[in-house]
Amino acid sequence: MKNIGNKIIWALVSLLGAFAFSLIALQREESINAIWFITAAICIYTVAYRFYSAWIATKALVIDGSRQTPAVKFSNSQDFVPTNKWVLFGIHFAAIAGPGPLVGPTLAAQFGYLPGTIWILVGAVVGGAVQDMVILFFSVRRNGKSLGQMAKEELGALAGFASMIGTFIIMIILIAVLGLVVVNAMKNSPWATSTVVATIPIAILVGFYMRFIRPGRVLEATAIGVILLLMAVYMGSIIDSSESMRSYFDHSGLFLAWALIIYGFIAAVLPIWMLLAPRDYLSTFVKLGTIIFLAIAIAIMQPDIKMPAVTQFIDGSGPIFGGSVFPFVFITIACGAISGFHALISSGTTPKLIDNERHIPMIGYGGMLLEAFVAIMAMVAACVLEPGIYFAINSPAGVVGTEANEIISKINSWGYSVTVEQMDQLAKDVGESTLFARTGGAPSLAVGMATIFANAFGKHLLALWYHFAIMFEAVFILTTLDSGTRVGRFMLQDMLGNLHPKLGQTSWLPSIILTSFIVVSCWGYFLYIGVIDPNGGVNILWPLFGIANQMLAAIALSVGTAILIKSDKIKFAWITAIPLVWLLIVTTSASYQKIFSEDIRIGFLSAANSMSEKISNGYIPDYGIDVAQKLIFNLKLDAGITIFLVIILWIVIIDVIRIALITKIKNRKRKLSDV
Amino acid sequence: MFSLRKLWVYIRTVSGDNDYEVYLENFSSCKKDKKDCPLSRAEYFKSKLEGKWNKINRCC
Repeated sequence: MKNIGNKIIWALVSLLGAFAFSLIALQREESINAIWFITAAICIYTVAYRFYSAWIATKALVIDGSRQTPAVKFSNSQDFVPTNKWVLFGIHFAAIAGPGPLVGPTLAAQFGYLPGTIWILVGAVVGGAVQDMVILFFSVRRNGKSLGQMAKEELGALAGFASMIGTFIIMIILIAVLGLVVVNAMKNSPWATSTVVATIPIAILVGFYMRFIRPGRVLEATAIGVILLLMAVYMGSIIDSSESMRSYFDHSGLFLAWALIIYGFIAAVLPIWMLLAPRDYLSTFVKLGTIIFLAIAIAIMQPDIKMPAVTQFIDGSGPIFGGSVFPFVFITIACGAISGFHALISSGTTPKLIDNERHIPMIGYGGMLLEAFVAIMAMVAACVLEPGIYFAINSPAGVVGTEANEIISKINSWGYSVTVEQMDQLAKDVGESTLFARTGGAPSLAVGMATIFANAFGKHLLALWYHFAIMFEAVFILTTLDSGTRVGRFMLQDMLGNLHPKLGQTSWLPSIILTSFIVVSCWGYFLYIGVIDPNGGVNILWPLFGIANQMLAAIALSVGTAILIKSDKIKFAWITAIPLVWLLIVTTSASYQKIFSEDIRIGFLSAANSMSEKISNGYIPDYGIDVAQKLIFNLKLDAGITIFLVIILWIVIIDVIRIALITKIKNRKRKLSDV
Repeated sequence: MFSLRKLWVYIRTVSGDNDYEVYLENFSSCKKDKKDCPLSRAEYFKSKLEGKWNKINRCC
């Protein structure tokens, strides 16, 4: 009886999911309610978790609950600690869910809600969650080895090198683009800037509290910190309304970029307990709180989606970033659908904490589904905005111009209605001088979130909600920036240690300063170029980040596929091979377009050539030549990086094919000898 | 069954608030092969943080 009841319930959940999905996919005439996005995601994800992940676990991977995990085998109360599965789920989710799933869907909304939503729903189920779970499983079976080590052992030294250098490039580009997102949210906004600045002393205070006043009392300290953060958001409004105070926090993008670069260097050199660790506690709590709050607010308010299902920009002419819906929606939304970066967590900390192999589906597969759910909510928050407003906030000056009337008439010419008065009123309501050309996704996400919160919990608080959302995004972007710089530093120290052993010592101060300086210079360069680029920088940096991240995912899936083939499970290899082939197609075609496309908004080289021509024809005024030359150099550098990434990707793929062929020959020989 | 007490213990464990208590429990149980005394709360917290942040610990 219970069995039949279960079957009926799962059939109903599946039907509801299919119904919600088809509603999202087919609804055209009337606007669709956001609740259907949530319904489709919950139903599809629970069904996928219940059936697909369970099937992979029992049939393909053959998870064995009686087998000792590394955490049990090597239990040492430091790295290897058997951990309760719900606790580990929380730790793993906090590690994988960063700002990526919020920014990507917001940018991809320029294609309309449908392409991004389908990719988040399908990509997570078939790609991202499978990758996370399979890598977690293989790492557990190999005593918690890292992705780099597994790539080296299973595919060869080159693949190991590829995953290491890929990780380093992703880290640099990710930090630069996230830095750009924060700078664009803070430029000429005293309220946002003062709030973000205030998070630094608050984090340091929390750090001192946890280190000296009440050592290790994480929750107490975090509670104090969160209250102070909320007060800082409120204090921002007072600073914003005082003429004399405003001037201290009213800065251009360039000034803020330099400030962020200097901050990044100091933060990377300071002890962990002082700034990084306390801010991470704060950002994790604020992040989880905000996400839960957003889900509740969407459920209460049930906003209508204003964005059309598909916009005309699927042809590649989009203002936020150039490139057609294929392949660029799959590059833009990396985190949230499939993210190679996760493979580093799944093969780093988590496998050393797993108590029992049976927990692998929940932590690997389930953790990723929850992140995809966050991405769906970000998509909803971007799409509840009027499309005209969405494009007015996110379009860079290089595309729509700088004058309000010019911008508005340009957006109106695309068929999206918005007026100067509307934008002025909205800016006033959220406590900003202007919302035009606030590229990077954070401000439009904040407006979307603030609208949802304000409608659900009090309209007069729109400005507070907006700046709360900006603070929320900034605080964990800064955590990613800080921890990313530190990891980059460790990687660099590891490499330099081969040249001179002293440089490899992670605690030797001259080495810390030197390597931190190099890492900060790397991302600082891209951040600087992003700020001076009239096209907003996001247009270049985000696709580059997406390509790097998807390349790492392809390497992770290659490792998974190779291990499945080698361990005589070739008939299950499609589990990882299908997303692998898809990523290969997507990454290669996106890279090809980014390098060779003749459209100057897509192709790096044609953009560089067109700018050189403009200089030689005298179209660029003297004061702009310096900037133009820097941009030309950067475009060529970006083309070089992209070529490099594609080459390493294909080398790894050829390795996988080689392994598949060798295994096939071996099997045939074995069969022959059996006869 | 759901209880606020369990939720509180869960939050403390996920956040690492009760790490030191767990460490002390583990310590007494394997005292025989370790000669040193357990670390103080502050020392333990510091070493724990350093172990946590010397690798990739946060994602995009």
